[in-house]
Amino acid sequence: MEKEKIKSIIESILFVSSEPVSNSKLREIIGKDYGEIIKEAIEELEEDFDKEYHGIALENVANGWQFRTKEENAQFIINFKKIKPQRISKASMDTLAIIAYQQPITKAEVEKLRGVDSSGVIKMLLARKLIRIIGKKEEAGRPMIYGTSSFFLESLGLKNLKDLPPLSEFEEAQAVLDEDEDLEEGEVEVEVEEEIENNDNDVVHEHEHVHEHVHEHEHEHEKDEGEEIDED
Amino acid sequence: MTQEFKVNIDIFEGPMDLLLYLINKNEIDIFDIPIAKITEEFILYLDKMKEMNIEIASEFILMAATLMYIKSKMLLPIEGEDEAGEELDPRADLVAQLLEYKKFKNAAQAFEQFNRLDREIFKRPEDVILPDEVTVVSDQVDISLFDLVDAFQKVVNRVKLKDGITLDPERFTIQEGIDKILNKLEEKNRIYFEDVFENVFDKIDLIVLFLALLEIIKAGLVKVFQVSVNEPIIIEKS
Repeated sequence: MEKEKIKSIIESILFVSSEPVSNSKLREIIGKDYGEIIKEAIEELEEDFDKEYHGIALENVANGWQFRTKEENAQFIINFKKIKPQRISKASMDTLAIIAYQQPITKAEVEKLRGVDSSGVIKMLLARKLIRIIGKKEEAGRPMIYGTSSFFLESLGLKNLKDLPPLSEFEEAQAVLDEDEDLEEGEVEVEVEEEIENNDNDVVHEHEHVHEHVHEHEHEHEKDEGEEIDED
Repeated sequence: MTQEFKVNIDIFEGPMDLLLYLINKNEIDIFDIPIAKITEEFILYLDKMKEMNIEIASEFILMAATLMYIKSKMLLPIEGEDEAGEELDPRADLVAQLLEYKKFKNAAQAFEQFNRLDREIFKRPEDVILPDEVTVVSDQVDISLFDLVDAFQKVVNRVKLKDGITLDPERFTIQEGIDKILNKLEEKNRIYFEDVFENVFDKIDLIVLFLALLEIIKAGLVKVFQVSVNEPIIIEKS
């Protein structure tokens, strides 16, 4: 089969599917020998639909491919479908973030982090299929263990869990850094940059970075003061 | 006044939220919390809630007690040192907990910014699964544990136990068995009882899977039924 034909088949399959369709599923349907061509075909489709005059985009979410409407048309779809845009409460979003980053996790562990009863929110997240029960913990009471679902990835438009922004990005930075004070983990004003990729040996780097940062500030201060004196 | 308070209740999911709010409002450095002041304000809020006849969740009381405990400790000379030889700050645990919580709150805020399905982005709606023959039959027969054990015995009998050398196969736990079955159900909403044991030929593995299935049934995650006696047993996501 030619690539054009394969593109057409993929487009049809994705059109009828409500779930993201994985590369391996496409290979299974179209033919094992077409692996490479399927990949190329998808890339081309992605580009085709990226054009401004298309109202849907081909996106890689939840380990598969899915046609999704474009963001800028949201209001028209909402009007057309006469729906309310789905909102998630703050409490639910907090809980979802905890589960996303800490999974597998029990309700008790969620509650320990949030400091508040979380039965209701967890029920809600389950009902909305953003999380799922992934088993029971081998400890007293056999509590349920929760994790995020593949719909969670779909909902947030993530390829997979690795696609989540690294949790370290969300650490609080210490407001005032004492120059002599040793930096501890968690107080580091993370200079994220490209270093997230090779996470293994960047702790030292981060420290260096911050120290540089501090020194820069000091220099600025000196300069400022110097200028002020000059002006006087 | 009442209205104002209603809004507040919304914001303060729990004591941690109230603490973070107070820290924010007073522009306090989270790494150096003036415990006396925060404790006072925290309790003031609880008093306000009481005035409003709002039931205070026990978590708030616990936090108030923790704050007062820390406050009292701050008054005493500090004893003990951490590994680095620095004096132990009585606030350290609370600060660590707040920072940890704040981290996830920040992450949640980032999630909120993402383009989300059914808010900014839409996809083809879920397939409506039309009932096939099986569900059309109205009176489903519920399954008793004995039926399940019976059916399981059949599966075991069908699997011819291999003679000869037995190599120790890689075992999986009931936990992993649960995952296996749930994954199968994730793909298809409904599977036959036999499908659970597909491609499994080891007796112990079969038993583990069976126990896993019982766990799932107990947790109420699936519905088990058959259309009539002697028909295959069906497991369906509930």
